[in-house]
Order: sequence, then C-alpha cells, then structure tokens
Amino acid sequence: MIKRIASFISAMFLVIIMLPSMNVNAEMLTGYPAESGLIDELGLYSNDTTTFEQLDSLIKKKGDELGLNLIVFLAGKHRSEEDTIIFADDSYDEIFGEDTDGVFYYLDLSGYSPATDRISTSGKAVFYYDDSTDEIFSKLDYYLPASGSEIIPDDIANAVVEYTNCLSRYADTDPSVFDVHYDEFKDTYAYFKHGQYVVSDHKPLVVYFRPFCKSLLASFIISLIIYLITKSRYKFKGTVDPKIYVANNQTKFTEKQDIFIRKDTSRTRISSESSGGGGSHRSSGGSHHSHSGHHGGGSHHR
Amino acid sequence: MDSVEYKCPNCNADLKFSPATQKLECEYCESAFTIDEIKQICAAAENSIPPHVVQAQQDFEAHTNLYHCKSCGAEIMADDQQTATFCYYCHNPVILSGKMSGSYKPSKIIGFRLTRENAENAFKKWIKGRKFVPTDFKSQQQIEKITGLYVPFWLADCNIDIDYRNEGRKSRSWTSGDYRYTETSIYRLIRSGTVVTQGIPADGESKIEDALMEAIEPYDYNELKDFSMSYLSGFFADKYDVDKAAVFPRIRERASQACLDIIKESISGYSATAPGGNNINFRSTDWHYILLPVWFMSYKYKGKIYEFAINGQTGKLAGTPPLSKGKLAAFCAAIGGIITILGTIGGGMMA
Repeated sequence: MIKRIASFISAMFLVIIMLPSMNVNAEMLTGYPAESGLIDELGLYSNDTTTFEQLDSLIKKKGDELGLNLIVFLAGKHRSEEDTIIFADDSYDEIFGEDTDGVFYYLDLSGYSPATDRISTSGKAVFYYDDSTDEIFSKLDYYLPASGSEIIPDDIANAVVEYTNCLSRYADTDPSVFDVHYDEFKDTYAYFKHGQYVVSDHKPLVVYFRPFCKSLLASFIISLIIYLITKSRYKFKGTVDPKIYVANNQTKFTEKQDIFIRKDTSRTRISSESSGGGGSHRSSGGSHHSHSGHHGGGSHHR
Repeated sequence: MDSVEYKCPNCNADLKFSPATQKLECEYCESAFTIDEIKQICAAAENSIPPHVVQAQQDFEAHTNLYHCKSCGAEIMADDQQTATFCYYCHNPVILSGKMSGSYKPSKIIGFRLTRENAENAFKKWIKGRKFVPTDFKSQQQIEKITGLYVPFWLADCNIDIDYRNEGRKSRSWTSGDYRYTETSIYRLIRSGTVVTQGIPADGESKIEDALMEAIEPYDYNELKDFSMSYLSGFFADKYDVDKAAVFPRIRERASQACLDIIKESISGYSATAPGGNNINFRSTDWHYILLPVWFMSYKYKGKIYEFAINGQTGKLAGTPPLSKGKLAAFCAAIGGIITILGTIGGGMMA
C-alpha cells in the first residue's frame, strides 16, 4: 500500500515537473543542412527555381560576408505568435546548433490575418540586430503584401533582397561592452569582450557598472537632500509676534466702517471648444523561453 | 574703590542671590534672606550698602566695576561680589580696569528664576537632537561656560494713533448661458483709533544679536521689581551701550507690525484689499531702563561666534547651533556609500 502511494506521488510529481514543457508545441524544422539559405515552406518558388536559387545564393553570400548563419523561411502555414517564436528559435538551433551566430527570418505568407513575421537572432547576432529589428521590419513593409492580400513572388523576392541589404546596413558589429544577455535557463551570460563574443557562466563585472552609476547618482541626490535639510535645521529660528505687547483693554477703534462704494459686473464668453482624446492602449503578452540557446529578436504584425 | 558686599548677618560670609528661592543665601550657615530683609539688615550693618549707594545713580556707578576684555573690547559690568574669570563673549580673561562711569541705573529688574542647573539641562536637551555640532560644543567644559547675565533692556510703552483707509473687494461669479459673470463689490474700509503697546523690549547691548534677544521673549513683567544691587550677586551684568534713540527704530517697527496685525484682524470677508493706505503715528513713548536675566553662552567655531541664550525667567531658549560640516559630510558620504553599494549589488543581481 505504501509503495503504491509512493508511486502515485512520484508520478504526480513527474507530471507537475513536465507540465510546463508539455504545454510547449515543439514544432521545428528538421533534416536541413547547417548552411544559410532560403526555405520555401509555401512553395512560392517551386515553379521558379531560378529565382529561388538566386535568392538562396544571395542569402548564402550575405551569410558568408557577415559571418552569420542566415535562414529566410517563407512560411505557408499559420502559426500563432507564440508558436512562431518557438518555431523560429528551435528551428535555428536544430539546423545550426545552440549559441551559434545567426538569424532566422520567419516570413509569414500563410494568408492569415494578421501575418506574424519574426526575426530570431542567436549568438552575436543578438547584439547585432536586437536594437534594430523594428527598423528592419519597417523597411520590409514597403515590399511585403498586407496580410490577406495577394502574394506576388517578385515582391517577396524584392523583400528578401532588401532584407539582406538591411542585415548589412543595420549590423551593429561593435556593440557596447555593457550589453550583456543573460539566459536564465542555462544561467549563462553572453557579451562582447575585446571584440569577441563570449558566453560565460560567470557574471561579468560590467553588469554592475550601470547599477553602480545609477546608485551613485541616486546616492548623490539623496545625500545632497540630507545635507541641505540638515543644514537648514542649523539656522537661527525664533520670532515673537509683537501683538503680544498690545494692551487690548486700552486699544480701541474710534472709527470702524466698511462703506459700500460701487459694484462692477463683467462677463466673459465661455469657450465652446472642448478638447478630448482617448488614452493610448497597449497590450502585451507573455514571453516564451525555449530550452535552446541565447535568442533575441522581434516579431512584427502586418 | 568702594565695594558693595552683602554679608551674612549670622556668619559674615558672602551672600548670593538664588534664582530658585529668589532670596539671598549664605552657603556656609545656610541662612536665607529676602531682598527686602537684606535691605533693612544691611542698612543697619557696618558693611552694608550705604543708602546713597542703593538709591543714587552716582553711587550705583561708584560701586560697580567695569571690566574691559582685552581680546574683544567688550565692556562687562559686575558688582564687587563677582569675579570675572572670562569674557562672556569671547571667553578670554578680562581685567578689572576701574570704576564704571557714564551709565544709568536701571529702574527695574527681573531676577533669575532659572538656576544654572536648569539652564545647563535646557542646553543639553536642546543640543541632544543635533548630531552634527562640533564635539567640543557638547562638552561639559563648554556647558560650564554658560553665564548668568543681566542684559540691559529698554522697554517702550507706545501710544499710537492708527488711521487706515483702503479699498476692499468682494467677488462672486456665476454662469448663465454661454457667459460667465463676475460681480465685484467695492467697499471703503476705515479703521481709526488708538493702539497702546506696553513693554516692547529692545536690548541695549550692541554685542548681543538683537534677534537672539527677541527670540527668547517674552518676559513676565509681573515679576519686575525695583532695582537692587543684590540681584546682581552671583551674576554678570552689563550696562547699555545702545541708547533709547538708537533702539527706537526697532521698537517702531515691531509696534507698527502689531498695529497692522490688529487692523488686519478687524477686516474679514474680502477677497482682496489694496496695499498701503495706513497711517501709523506714534503719539508718545514712555521708556523704562531695566535689566533682564539671560543665561548666555557663546562658542567660537572656525572664526565665527555662535551665541546661545536662555530666558533666565521662563527658560525659553534660542540660538544658532554650530554645524560641523565635516561631520555632516561624513554622514552623507556614509549614507551615499551604503546606497551605492546596495544599489550596485541589487542592480547587478537583477541585471
């Protein structure tokens, strides 16, 4: 009996432990070679191999030029935003391995509205592009169709070309030494040191630099306030109301009058203009962390 | 030089005035005498105050010693009973220079009510909450420098005619249709009459800050007594070096302020009154020259003199505590250091 109860408790414990990971839809690309290129899930260029090869070649060339693994994925299947993030991150790791340097561009051409695009960065690409993903998406909006509208292969090709141009244009190849990314699942820190991308188990000292500066400023302000308040308490204080010396019984008014003189009335038109406006609304969803390596990036709705 | 000494009729030891009992007491045989008793006793005794000394101003001057501080030049008056061990302004030793001359005999005096112990305790209590004063300012040696001093004061009784004529406005607003209406009623305000102020004090001592003496007001004038040298026994006393003409601007300013306050109190219900319009005329001023009791202490810190005074009758105290900027800066630096360390560690852990 005791053994059964113990087994039941163990089983329940395992279920509880596994529950979070069971919720994650672990769909990912498999079987692709570890090289940059175009993946056409939609089959947009299945009849136009020339364009496909041109684009694939362009991506490979850009990857070599930047020293990054680049995948442009033309998605033909609708995925939720969360699933898109997981798919992009996990697919990249599956193809190139964790903590390698590269970008996975998920281009939603499923026709679902709104379309969810994703730029998933890994390794040093996190530092290169995380601050500029919004700008890249803005540039691509010019070429990409609105969600639900007709997909024209030439537009998509132009978008891919522009994307590769953006990768060159927006690459921040000299990120700040204070920029540190922490992976809470692996408990590692990724940062640039002397131009080299480093992943370490130890927290770099530069992590403390910004809090130090902020604390120093805060402590200076607080100390200054304390100093000034204390200093003001060391000033001479003391006044006596001279009215205490008035002999009230001998003080008298011989004349005390309030005489009405006139009355003035003025009127002003009340402005009929009214101003108003709604507040801004912003909603935000939760974030997902897969079990894979360092990932950054951003999502975009068309 | 004649000296005024109050000898115990029982043991012939020196008598000293006690603020606690308001009597002259003998420390040896523990006898105690009221001021009136000692006047009668001393009048008959061989070493008593001669009647002409007690009453006449010239005798008052003859039996009062004037000390000149060689360091700061202050003039300090004391009777023969007193030993001036240090100047109460700069704490340097003072030298007896001779008879005092050219001063007035006070008409009234309020004797010390507050004992030295009371004064020291009041000072300790006042200084307790001030952590950033120099360490030696709190020392027993410094506290012992608290000096019982009779400060010369001019009391002014003023008869003042006031004539205030001004405009007052009462406003109300309402809305009707697309318009907002504002109605302003204008009144002529007239206040005329007489204000009498009694006993506005102004110290006649140039070396003590006027504001410091004003800050320990008021004194209870019900305890004013006819001046007697015996009150000075055991205390310092000073003669005035600012005459009543010189203090009158201060008196006028305070009395005028009192008049304006009374006028202001009598006007209510107006949203605005025009400035000015008041005419304050001092019809007459009666003067009294008196001595008032003050426990006084000064402290020199980084070239600046800090004065501290306690009303010797009511115990009200005032003064400017010296600030040790080094202590305060160290404290602020410590607070800043702690905040910086905690903020850095906390921020670093959360980053």
